[in-house]
Amino acid sequence: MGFLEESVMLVVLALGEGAYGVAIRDELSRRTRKDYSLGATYTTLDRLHDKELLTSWLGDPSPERGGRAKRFFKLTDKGRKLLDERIRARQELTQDVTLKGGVLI
Amino acid sequence: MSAALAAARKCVAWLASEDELGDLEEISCSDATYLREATAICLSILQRRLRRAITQGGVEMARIILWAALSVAGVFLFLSLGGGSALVYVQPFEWGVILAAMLGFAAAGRRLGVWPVILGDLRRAHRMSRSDWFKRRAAYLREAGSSPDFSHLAGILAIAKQTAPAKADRLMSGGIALFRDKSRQRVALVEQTVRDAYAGSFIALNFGLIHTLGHLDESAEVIGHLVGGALCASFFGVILGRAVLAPIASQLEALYEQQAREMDSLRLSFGGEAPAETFEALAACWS
Repeated sequence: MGFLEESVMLVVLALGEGAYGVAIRDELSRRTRKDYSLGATYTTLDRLHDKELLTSWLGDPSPERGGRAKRFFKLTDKGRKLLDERIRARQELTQDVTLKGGVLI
Repeated sequence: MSAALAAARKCVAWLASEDELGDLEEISCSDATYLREATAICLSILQRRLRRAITQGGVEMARIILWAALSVAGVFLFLSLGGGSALVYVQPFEWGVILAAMLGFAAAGRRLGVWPVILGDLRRAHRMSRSDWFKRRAAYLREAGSSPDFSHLAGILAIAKQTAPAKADRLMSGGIALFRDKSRQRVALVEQTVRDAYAGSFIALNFGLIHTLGHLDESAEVIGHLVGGALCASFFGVILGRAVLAPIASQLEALYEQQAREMDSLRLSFGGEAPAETFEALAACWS
């Protein structure tokens, strides 16, 4: 699992029930301070869906979207477990690392 | 810019799903950003389709090609062990005749035209052969939209809800009958191509023998090679027919039968039976 896939999973987890295409892209761009296109977001979501780390369902149609429904995403149990392992591993790796004035020492 | 925007809109509308179109509709942005986003969406959809085609259809075709290659390698191995020359199988003329027969001398255009459809169906066969297919379908219908793979089912059910049960049943029965007819035609076409491969090998055998008769004044080695080549022509047709085309025909037949059963289970659900339960019952029968 790459950085983008992990980031998207974290954003989906953070957004909870409101995780759909545009919201995920906006939150991802805000948190990483980097612009992501909707296309790149969809590709990542699709890959995670194929790996069965995410599941999706269609919501109700809304007028501001031309009467089209939103596709919402949430983590599967497999996705949660994998993300949990990754976070734990990262914590283990960074526990002795400290930042001083924005620089690793 | 407006022409480019209109073209981008058409591309997205053609390629993207409803929810992706909705996302693009929702973001308020400048023309340049819209164009960039639309292009990125189109490219991502093409990338996803290509990836799926490679990982799913590719696996299916690779299995058939590998099986055929193993069969050919096995025959070559036995021939070499028996002291024969493997070069005797290099007969471009006979191969050409068999391939021409397979394509159908009289209906080559129609036969070639249907092959992209058949290959697309084979790609789907790989997806449908997964054991949890029906269970996932049932889960989709129960949880309303849990997987984009089956989103078309919701559309069918929505239309059925708005239609009188008897009419919906009649429409669906007509659709199933039409589907069965078309699928039978496709399977028959592949089976016909198998028979053509056999016929082609017989024709190639005869051509090979006629070709040999024209070289009777040559040395015994040359004549032996030509006779061997003519006899091997029958083997080419059998390999193509049995190892490549017959498995495709049987796989297509199984796929179409499975799809027809699914449609029939949907038709039953119009009569009041819950579709999820129908699919589960079907899954039990199928497994």
